[in-house]
Amino acid sequence: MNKPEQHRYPNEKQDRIASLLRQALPPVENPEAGPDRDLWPQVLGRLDEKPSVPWFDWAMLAGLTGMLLFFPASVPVLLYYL
Amino acid sequence: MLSTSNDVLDRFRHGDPDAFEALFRLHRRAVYGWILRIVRNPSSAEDLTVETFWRIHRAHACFDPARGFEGWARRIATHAALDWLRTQRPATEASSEPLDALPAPQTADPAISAEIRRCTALAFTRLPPKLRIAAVLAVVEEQPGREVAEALGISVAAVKLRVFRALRLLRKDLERQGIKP
Repeated sequence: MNKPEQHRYPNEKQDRIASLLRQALPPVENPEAGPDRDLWPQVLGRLDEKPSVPWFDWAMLAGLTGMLLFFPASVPVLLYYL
Repeated sequence: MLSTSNDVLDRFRHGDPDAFEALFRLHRRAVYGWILRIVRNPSSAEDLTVETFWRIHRAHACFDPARGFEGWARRIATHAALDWLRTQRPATEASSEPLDALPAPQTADPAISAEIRRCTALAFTRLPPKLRIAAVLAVVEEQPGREVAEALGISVAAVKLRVFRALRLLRKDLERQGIKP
């Protein structure tokens, strides 16, 4: 006999949604068959790439340069804290 | 379980390129398979496998041979996949391409319509990435809780909690669409 929705136990609801999820997203078949192509050349290419400087490093450098240009009096303060 | 000699692991830790290639050849399938289980898209899984091995190479000095390579690589792969999921926008009705990349279930329950399965898959893409990974590995792929916990860097109890939260959010999302699971 089916229980009314509001009387279902939490675990039962969880099991139903888990089952629904498995139906919606079936497990990947034979995932460890591996990629279709050899990825070693791409790995080597990635290793040879020069690391890019993050944009916020450039922003910080620009801000610091601007500060030194517009407020030269701040140079001794900066040197004191370095 | 793939085994690697201590000599290769030790040489890898000291930056030996031949040892790194040997580890790549030995573990690439397992790493690719683990990533494919998470992202469910073969093309993205290939890119993330390359990204994972790049991260592995970059972190070679931090590797502890005593703890084994496979679990360490799986953990790096999981974080690479998590970063990728964070950059992805949730799929919509109009753009469900990632969901179509893998074959449909062969043993579909006739009581569950294709439309409900599609709504569930779309709702799943709207979950927070950390919950998605826990749910897809533990519920869909039925991976051992200990392996999932190790890959995510959390306890088995925390994995169960994430799965619980993922399923609860999924149910609420479906209920908002008028679907009573």
